[in-house]
Amino acid sequence: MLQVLPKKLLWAIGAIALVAAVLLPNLVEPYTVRVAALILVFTVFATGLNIILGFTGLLSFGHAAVFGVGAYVSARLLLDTGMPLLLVMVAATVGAGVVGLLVGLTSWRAGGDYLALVTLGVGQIFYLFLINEKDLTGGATGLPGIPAGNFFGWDLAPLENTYLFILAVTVVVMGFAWVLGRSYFGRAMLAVREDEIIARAHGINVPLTKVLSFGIGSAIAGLAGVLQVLLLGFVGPATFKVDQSILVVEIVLIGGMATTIGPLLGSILVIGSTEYLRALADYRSAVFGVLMLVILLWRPGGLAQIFGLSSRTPNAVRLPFIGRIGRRKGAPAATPAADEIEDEHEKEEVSR
Amino acid sequence: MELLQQIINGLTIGSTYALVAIGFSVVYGALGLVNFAHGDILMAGAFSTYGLYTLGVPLPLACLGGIVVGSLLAVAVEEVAVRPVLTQHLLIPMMTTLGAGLIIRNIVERIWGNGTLPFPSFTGGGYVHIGDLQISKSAVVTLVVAFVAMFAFLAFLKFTKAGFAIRAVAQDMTAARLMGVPVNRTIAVVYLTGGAMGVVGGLLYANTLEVVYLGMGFAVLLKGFAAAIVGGIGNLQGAMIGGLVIGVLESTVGPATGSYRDAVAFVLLIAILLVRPTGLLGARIQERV
Repeated sequence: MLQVLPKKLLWAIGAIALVAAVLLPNLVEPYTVRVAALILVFTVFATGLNIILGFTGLLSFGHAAVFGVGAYVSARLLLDTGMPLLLVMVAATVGAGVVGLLVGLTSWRAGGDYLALVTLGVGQIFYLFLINEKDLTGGATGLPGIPAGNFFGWDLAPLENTYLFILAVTVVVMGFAWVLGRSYFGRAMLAVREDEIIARAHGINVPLTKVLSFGIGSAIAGLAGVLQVLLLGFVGPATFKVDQSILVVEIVLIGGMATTIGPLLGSILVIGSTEYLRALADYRSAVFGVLMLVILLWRPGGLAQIFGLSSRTPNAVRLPFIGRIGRRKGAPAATPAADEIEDEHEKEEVSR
Repeated sequence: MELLQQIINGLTIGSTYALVAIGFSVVYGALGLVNFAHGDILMAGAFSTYGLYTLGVPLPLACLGGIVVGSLLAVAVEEVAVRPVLTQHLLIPMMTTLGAGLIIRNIVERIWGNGTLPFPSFTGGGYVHIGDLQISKSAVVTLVVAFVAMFAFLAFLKFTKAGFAIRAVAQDMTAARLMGVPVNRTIAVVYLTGGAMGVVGGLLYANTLEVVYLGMGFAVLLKGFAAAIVGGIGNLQGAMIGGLVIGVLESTVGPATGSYRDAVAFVLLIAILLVRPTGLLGARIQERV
């Protein structure tokens, strides 16, 4: 498609888009800023799922649950304690990550399609929990009036500050996802997705890779939950239903699995069209259903592939810490030569 | 007596779960694919029956019409969303069927709206008394129809040529093709019969609750999933037993858990998967279907 565009031009377009995103509150009316912030929240949320679904190839239908864990933990902390926002974010992210690890542990025994059903069940149980534990979660009415807090003296109450904060977090998360995708661990996740047996034969610890990717993906979704609380100042169970889990699967699929830019493109299309094309509202799920079918049948790489933004075999970058995770004990020491050979093998696998 | 009463109520609702689970399991057993459109297909079938009934068609005929609509939808899903991606990573057909389900649900919503509509009971009101037990007539109908449908389906698989073809495809698709089994047609039959079983389950569920609503497909499908897994996914007798176990547990243990009644099925599902990943009858997974 647009692959004819030189790479430098793409980088320039990206840089211009980033500058435009930073200047957005000065350019457009508050409603658009609010929609943009919502798109970014869903970008982070979908980035979390993308690690599980896109990279490791595990289907999570309960991702709204970990999103909800992050949102409710941060809401409770912001309401009840005067904790600094950074600590609240850490607590919510870690909380969601731990829940994700626990759910991910079931992947140890239950294979791919079973796991989809387990996560579906976990999502349902979490929703029942939100409705029923009124003292903790506010029940069906949720928790209103959550203070925005401030980030090291930066007051997040005005919308444009909230937006800029969300933008900053989104950029950090996307950067993290980019690095993760190019690390040894990212390659390991792709290898597990393509063929578990071959991955194991290459010295990848398959169960650990699965569980860790579940934990990381859930932690990122929890962070998205905090951002949503900051944006809306409110949490209620309606935004953590199964519908939401399916919506985020749609975003990842439509945007492009296993790409950094995919979740952003998917969010822009799915959330943006929801907000701006009200006329579409009645036919929304049919339109996205058709779009899902079309993309899966003809363009499995989603929008990222259509725009020519995804490279099939991205160059690996060597990282001091992440490079070690998932490597089996007793595997050859990370001499450059051995690693390159391994990478070559993985490349072959992934492209197969 | 109270307990026995609860068990019978549980068997009634459980038999509808079992039918849905069988429809889901036959597809999984034959192809190893999860059909996420199953719930929406059975919901569309139940709504079609409702629609035909409100147009003045007699109820039995309307039910038949609903089953036909559901079966055709299931074949359409197979042709559009499953056939082209049959050989790909199992994740892909899962998500294409999910997309197909979204489309079906949207169409039903456009036609009948998203409200809860009254569904005519097959028998009207009334109870049958056996000793102290009080069983509603519609529960009797549900139990009888469910068991007849289940055993008819098992007999279909065992004794007919098409059923034999399904079992052959389930065992080894390539070998079946080499032996002259029309594989593509057989897969269509798998989806057709699976959809029909789902709609029968959905109709009995609607008959038990006396309503149809847009979310019912998903609600029943979740229980059907749980039933299929508890019994050993792909195993039809297992799906039957799983459905009945979940129904009975819901109505005996359920009241004690208060508002967490719907969680019973999922807790059981997760527990079974962790302890016995192949389900209660999992040892027989090799000869599924």
